[in-house]
Amino acid sequence: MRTFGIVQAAVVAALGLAAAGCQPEIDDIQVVIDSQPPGEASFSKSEFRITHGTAVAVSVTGVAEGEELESAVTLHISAYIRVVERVPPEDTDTIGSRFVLIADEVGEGTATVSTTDSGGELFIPVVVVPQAP
Amino acid sequence: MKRGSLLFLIACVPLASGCEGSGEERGAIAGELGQGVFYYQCATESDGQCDEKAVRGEVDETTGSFPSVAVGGEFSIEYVSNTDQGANATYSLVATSDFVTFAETVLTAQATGITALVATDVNGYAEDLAHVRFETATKIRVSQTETAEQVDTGFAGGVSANVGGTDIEIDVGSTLNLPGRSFLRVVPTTDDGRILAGALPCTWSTGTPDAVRIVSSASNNVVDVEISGPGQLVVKLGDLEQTVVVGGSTP
Repeated sequence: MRTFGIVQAAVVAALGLAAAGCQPEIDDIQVVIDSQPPGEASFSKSEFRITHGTAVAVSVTGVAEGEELESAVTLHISAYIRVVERVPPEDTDTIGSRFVLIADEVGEGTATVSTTDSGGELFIPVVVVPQAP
Repeated sequence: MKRGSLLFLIACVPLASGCEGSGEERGAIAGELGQGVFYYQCATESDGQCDEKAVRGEVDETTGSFPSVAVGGEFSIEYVSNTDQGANATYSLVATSDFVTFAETVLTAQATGITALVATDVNGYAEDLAHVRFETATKIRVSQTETAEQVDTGFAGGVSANVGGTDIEIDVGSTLNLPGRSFLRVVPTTDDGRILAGALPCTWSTGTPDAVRIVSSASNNVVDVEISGPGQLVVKLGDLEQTVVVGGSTP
């Protein structure tokens, strides 16, 4: 009964936010690097940067108005970096959607980041840098 | 636009791939996500890194990594999952085609650098990953060895010494008084003498067949020769070539 009440409250709150135009919009991301790539790799709202030929495992969480969004992140990168979803974790408490990013080609593109239950999208420049000689 | 993606199905179901033994028995490196282990495997008989035919190569103990693979060299990688759901599962490897290409279970190093190998499950989810370094062979080393079989102790990547202390390096241009029946080994190396992994095309030949007879396969990096007089052996490994001058001591 208590669970049902909580769900009811959440639904009502969500409907209220939507009706009021207050659906949180993703405005930032948190990226945790889960593997240690052998080359340069950095991820922020302002740029994704990774070294050609290498791959890095990351967990990405959307952020809206300073609050972490618990909904799944959708990550699309048009070129240069291939996005491979990781095996879903058994630990359901894990926050952040998990990917392996493979730097296929040297170049500059754009990543589009959104979440399943928030509005808005982030467009983040992507740079694949050549390997150091 | 060129798409730098390739999908390579590796048969990691043990019975299908001839995998033997448990992970604890063999040199391997842990995946960077700790979900499984990656094994280096010799693709053909002429991989200087492998102690026997078609078995796993050694891990470089100094770096904990796979040995560097010669550009142009063929090799295989086997991935074995540590997870409950991954037991007996089949995985694919995904990599960047600028650095590595696939032909069934054989990978070929395409360019100098480091490349990721990502193991994905049947649903296309990535489970773990590892990186391998490719380097250009700038020299080849010819040694006299004890046996036509690769010796028990495998080449340890990055170690410049010859196998098990049993090989005697042959200097370029020197004349050797090899015994009548000798075994020679050729391996690719870097400028600083590190032995590279990966099977490069290998050919032994002789311009003096009356004096030097190649007894075993001329495409193996270890060759069995019978020497009865002064002559020459030429070995070509990848794009590199070396001539061995033999004095031909009495058998």
